[in-house]
Amino acid sequence: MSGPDQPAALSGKVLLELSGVSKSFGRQKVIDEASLSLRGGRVMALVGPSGVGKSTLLEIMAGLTRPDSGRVSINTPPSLLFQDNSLIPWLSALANLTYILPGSMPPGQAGNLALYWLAKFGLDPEKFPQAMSGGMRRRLALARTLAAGRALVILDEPFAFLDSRWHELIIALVAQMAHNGALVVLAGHSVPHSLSAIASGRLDVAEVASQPIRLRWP
Amino acid sequence: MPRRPKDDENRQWPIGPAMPDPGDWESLPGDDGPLGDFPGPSPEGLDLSAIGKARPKGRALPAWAPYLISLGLWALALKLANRAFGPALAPGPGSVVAELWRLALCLDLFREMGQTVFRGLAGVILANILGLALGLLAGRASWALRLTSPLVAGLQACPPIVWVSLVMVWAGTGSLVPMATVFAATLPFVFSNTAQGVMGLDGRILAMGRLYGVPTARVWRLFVLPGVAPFWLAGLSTVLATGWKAAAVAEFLGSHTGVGARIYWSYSQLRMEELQAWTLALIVLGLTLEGAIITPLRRKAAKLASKGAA
Repeated sequence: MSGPDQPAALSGKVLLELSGVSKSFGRQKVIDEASLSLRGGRVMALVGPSGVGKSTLLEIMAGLTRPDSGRVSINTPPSLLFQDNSLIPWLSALANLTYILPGSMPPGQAGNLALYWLAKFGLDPEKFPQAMSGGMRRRLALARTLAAGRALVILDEPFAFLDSRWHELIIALVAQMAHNGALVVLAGHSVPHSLSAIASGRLDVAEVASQPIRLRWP
Repeated sequence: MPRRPKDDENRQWPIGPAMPDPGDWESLPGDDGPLGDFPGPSPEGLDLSAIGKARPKGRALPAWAPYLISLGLWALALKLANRAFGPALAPGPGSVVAELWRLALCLDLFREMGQTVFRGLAGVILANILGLALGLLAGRASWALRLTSPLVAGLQACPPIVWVSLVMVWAGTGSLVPMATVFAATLPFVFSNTAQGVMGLDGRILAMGRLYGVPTARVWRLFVLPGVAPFWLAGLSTVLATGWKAAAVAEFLGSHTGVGARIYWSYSQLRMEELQAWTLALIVLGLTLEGAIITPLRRKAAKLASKGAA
């Protein structure tokens, strides 16, 4: 593999930069002057309790939410695991995945790629989200996020609703992506020990314990 | 359906760096566990033979019985009116059915009903084209919907007679009156239902489409239109139910042809058998529309809505 978007080219490069970013909802300040500079080949874990604004920060990183002030530089297209999954209820698992794949990809190839990721997460391609358990929906949303094949992967609560065997798979995938040059940003209540073990050399952990988030990294 | 890829095919996918080398997948944990998660068929199997065969207890009436009972009650009412007012003002059921038969034989029945249905449908189709377009636009801008909601509610509350009078003043009498009346009476329903459908769409899924650069045509085909469909179908069933009635009223007042016009003509000539026959024809037309189109549409809308809400 070669080219500007390939691992060798991206590893070590700044893929995401936030400088002096603030965001409020009404009178409530959620993010206060956050500044980050994150490079390819790393895993950044934002750890903190629910409701402090981690999801808002991740959406700003993905370019979905506009900050009130500050500058956001996203240097490669992101992929985001939404906290609420955001699956399309009337599309099958397979169609939910192929929905986000590039229009330029031949349908057969897109289908094969989607089937690959569905199999990886143990999902039936023909099943609809309404017929799935919470864990299966989460796995489908994860499969969709990873199938996009992007170098900036943002995962909001990737371990929620999933048992330990899926944690292992996700951790292995995160480590693999970072090894391949991608920047993985994930948010959760804690960092699983196995992630620390597998990606120890590449893992950065930032505590965001209270509101507003005042993060400076590095 | 695309087949499952082989490993060597995976290697050719031109995906970015987040896609791990497929050769490494075999060593990743979870490969055995997750795939073992598929629920296979139970070895004993399930007895599915009873599904769909259960019937409520008690003797069920055949499907045609309510229609027969209604027809009997209608005949009884005509008979009583006949006794009270005499045959000149209230013909008996036998003469009404005979008149209906005569109208059918000389094809007047089908010609006039065809015109009424055509005018009603033309108005409904035009209202759907414009109402869908405006509703899809307004649903994306909630401020526009808020600003126009009193106007739309007012238009929905307007009785068809208002539109009939206006169109007759502006365009005289003829086919335009029922078509424009149906159009004006049904447009607000299509518009507001469509706009509500668009507003109900999950904004995060639209945002996700932007995030991944999903082509606009795909967003509309797979997300927006199926999401709006239950609302639109519910609106369509309402406008079909009201459209043909509005068409008949408009023909009564502002047209020389169609079932409504024939009712007016029979009334003005005091030809009571024909008046009752056209009334009966109009009721049968309404029941046919209800059974063949409106009820299935409502069922479809409810089914789609429950699928989307899950």
